[in-house]
Amino acid sequence: MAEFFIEIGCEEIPAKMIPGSLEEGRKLLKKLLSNYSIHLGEIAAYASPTRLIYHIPEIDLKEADRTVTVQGPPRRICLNEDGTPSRALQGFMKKNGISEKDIRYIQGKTGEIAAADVFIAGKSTDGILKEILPAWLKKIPFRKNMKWGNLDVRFVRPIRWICAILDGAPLVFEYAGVTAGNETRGHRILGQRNIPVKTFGSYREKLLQNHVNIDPKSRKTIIQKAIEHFESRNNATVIRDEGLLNEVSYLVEIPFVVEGTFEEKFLEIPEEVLITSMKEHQKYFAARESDGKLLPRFLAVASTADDPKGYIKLGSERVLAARLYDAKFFWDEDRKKSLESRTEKLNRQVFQTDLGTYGDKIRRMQKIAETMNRFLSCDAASLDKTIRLCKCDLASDMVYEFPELQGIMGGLYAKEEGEPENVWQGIYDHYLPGSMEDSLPRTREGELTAISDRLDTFLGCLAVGIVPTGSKDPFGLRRAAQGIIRIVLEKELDFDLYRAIENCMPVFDSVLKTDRDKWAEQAFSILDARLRFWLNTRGFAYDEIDAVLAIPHGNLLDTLNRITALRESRKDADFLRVAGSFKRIHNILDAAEITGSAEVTPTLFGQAEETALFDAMTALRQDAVKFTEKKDYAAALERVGEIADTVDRFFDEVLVMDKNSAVKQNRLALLTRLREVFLGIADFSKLVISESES
Amino acid sequence: MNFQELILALQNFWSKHGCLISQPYDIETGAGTMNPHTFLRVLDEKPWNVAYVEPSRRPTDGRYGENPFRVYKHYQFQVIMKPSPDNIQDLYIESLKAFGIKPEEHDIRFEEDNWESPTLGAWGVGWQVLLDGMEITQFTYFQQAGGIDLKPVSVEITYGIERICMFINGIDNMYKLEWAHGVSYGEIRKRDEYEFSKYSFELADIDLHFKLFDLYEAECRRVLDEKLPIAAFDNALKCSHAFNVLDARNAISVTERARFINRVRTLACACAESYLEVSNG
Repeated sequence: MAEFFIEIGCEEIPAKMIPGSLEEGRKLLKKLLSNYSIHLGEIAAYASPTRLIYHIPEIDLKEADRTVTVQGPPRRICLNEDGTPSRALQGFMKKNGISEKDIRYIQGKTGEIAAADVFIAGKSTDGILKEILPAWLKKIPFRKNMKWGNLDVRFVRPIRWICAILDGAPLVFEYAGVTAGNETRGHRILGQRNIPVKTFGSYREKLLQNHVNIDPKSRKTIIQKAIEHFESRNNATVIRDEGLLNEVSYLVEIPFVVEGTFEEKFLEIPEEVLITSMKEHQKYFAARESDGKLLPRFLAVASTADDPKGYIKLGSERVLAARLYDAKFFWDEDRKKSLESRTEKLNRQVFQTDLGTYGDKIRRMQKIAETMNRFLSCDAASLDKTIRLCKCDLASDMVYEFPELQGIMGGLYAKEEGEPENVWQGIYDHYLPGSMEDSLPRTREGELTAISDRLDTFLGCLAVGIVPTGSKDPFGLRRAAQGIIRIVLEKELDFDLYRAIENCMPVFDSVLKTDRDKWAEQAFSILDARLRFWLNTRGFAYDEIDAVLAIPHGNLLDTLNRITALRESRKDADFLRVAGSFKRIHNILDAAEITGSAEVTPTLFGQAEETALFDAMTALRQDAVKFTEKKDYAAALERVGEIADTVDRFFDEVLVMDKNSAVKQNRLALLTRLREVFLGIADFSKLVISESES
Repeated sequence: MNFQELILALQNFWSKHGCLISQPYDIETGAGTMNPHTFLRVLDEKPWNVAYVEPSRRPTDGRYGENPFRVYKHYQFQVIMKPSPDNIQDLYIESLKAFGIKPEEHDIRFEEDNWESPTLGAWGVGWQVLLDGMEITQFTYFQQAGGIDLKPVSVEITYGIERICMFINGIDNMYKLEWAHGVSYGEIRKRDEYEFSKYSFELADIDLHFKLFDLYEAECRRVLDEKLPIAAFDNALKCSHAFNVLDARNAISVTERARFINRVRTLACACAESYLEVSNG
């Protein structure tokens, strides 16, 4: 076993692209190598802004020699009449370098065929790598590639060197005008060039000496340690941001954390603005005092070993000061105009060509919110105000400069204008939740504004033919649907969402470009998919989800109640027996031709088990209705379990498909009624019952 | 190092590294990229290395001479090298030394920033170069210009010379920079800034500029028909400037904006195509 590693040296690769592409490259290399009979250990991947690195600690230097059975032509065409090898057989022998004595006949798929055991000498790993590495480099996927110089090669950024070492020796091949060899490069400014290496250990070591830490995890840890050090010295809390931490650790060859300060006067700007300004524009970390107040300090991560003259600290402070100076200017200027006065500009700002301006969007949102609010109870006036003002900050200077502060700025400006808490918080929160982990709006106004906004985007885009496909969802419709589902379920809004949505659909009459039914179907199927996803994250199994979504639904809390009860009932053996029979009932009814009356005629019963089931069904129906009205689905399902014996005896003793058509139809009617009772709770025939459960 | 010395240092450096030192274009441009020495010269296969200062007019950035960072007209130092040399990043770092930056004392980073000019039908891939957190240069490998895929690829380095000068002198106000010999940037530029801001935002004749746009557009097409793309391109630049003035006057709505940009792009692309045709043919 030997060691292989390769370093692809590039001009700076965008930090956000590195982790994903690095991993794709690793999988791809593994896949390409799996086509050969070489044993190898796990491939480890490392990267810095200027290099992608793959290390295979153990790899065979040669494929194993092996004997394989090769198959030739059918036996009937192998020999000429005189018994000499036919041309077909000769070709087969020549191709595999064998003679007649090696030929034997084996049973093929369509008769006997010629076959032979052929010795294959394993290829050298050196040769294999030289062959596959160029193809591999061509295929490593990046979000955006480029060309450079006079070459036709495309890569994320120009490749400037390749260091490839197999078993201590350089693996020489050419790609993108670069010849791979045994030399690496240190930090562009602080390190040396043309550093020869032999082993991965020495490579890593020499690069560290030359101010490159190739391990992103280690860079991240160093940054984290510096953050903790700052915290303990200053009795402060640095605002943790995993995304920012990851990004900066891919922006530097080695991390050096610089501590800076800014003037206290900027603290009068809302902290949301300060933090965003530090994070988004400068990639700095903000910090709080122990009492939660923002500190006029920040941490910046530089790609260097030291700040000998203090220039980096000084420069970072000056750049941030200029940014904050701008932010303060926007904060002061924006507040000179009321939010309300900005609505006029929204009437000119296009939301989407077919859906009109933000003004149009707001007018639709008002109607949607009003419809939704018929089922809920939010103060109509404050809800309407929240919606009217919620997009006004899009026309402010601050949001133009910091788009990620949309909503938040509107809320802050509304607060400054003296709007009550439920209104300003409603505006502030209405983009929540942005993700599955994000928090939810604090107020009912916020919830309804958030739902109306998403519903407008969601139904509106679908109405004009913008439909998410595969990974393409430019308007974030799936995310919008997910947000609606999350708010309704997690804020426990007890109303029939789907019916409310149906009531909102006429709002889109004037923009609808597609078939109305198809549009509705698309909308509800996406909502169902997101509901499924949510239920699944809460630990419900697919079959349980199928069971509750197979019956009419729309009140999401009700669905949640049903599925919660259903999950519990799985522990009840009697209930599971009924669920098994339910499947049988489905099958019988689906296959049968039902011609008789839907009514059951007890006088037609010929067997005691029939009467017993009818009585059990009638009693169950009464109880089931009673329980479902009280939303006590657990009790309803438990009650279902109680008829298990009766159902079993019925199927043991009664042949449903009786020769007498009237009897048969009557029995089908009985099962139909029973099915109706079951479906009133959930289609628990969908449960996939495992061995251990039954 | 004052403003003038900075320009001279950059010119000397790039001259030493094989660039022709060309002069600013004599028609209003919004960036060094619009100068035909970039826009047209990057299209063909012939090697081309050039550097020049480009006074860049951006009417909407005018601040009446009151904002210390933002101006109607700023100066770019533009470098174009075709094909992009293998050691271009090293050359760039070397160039910083030309105006007294010791790279080992600073944090110099290349952060992703892809450049796109919708009016020129051009885009490229590259970075903004940050010096201790401040953006001082745009560094771009052109992929397309005038809608044409480029081969060889040119690299464009655009230094923001006011910013760099402010940085190396530790001055937070552009107007307080020394241009040379004790004369300040403000003495040379501040009154212009006020007048051009006032003109672009308040006075420029809207009807006239709409007419100018139409006239230059027609002239560009007429000249293109005569297969004189370099002359035609001047008219496209004129259109672009007229559009910028109208934009500053708030005379163009959001939807019309896209339409006007498209009209300029159409001209720029036609000029590019014709330029290649004439060079090749």
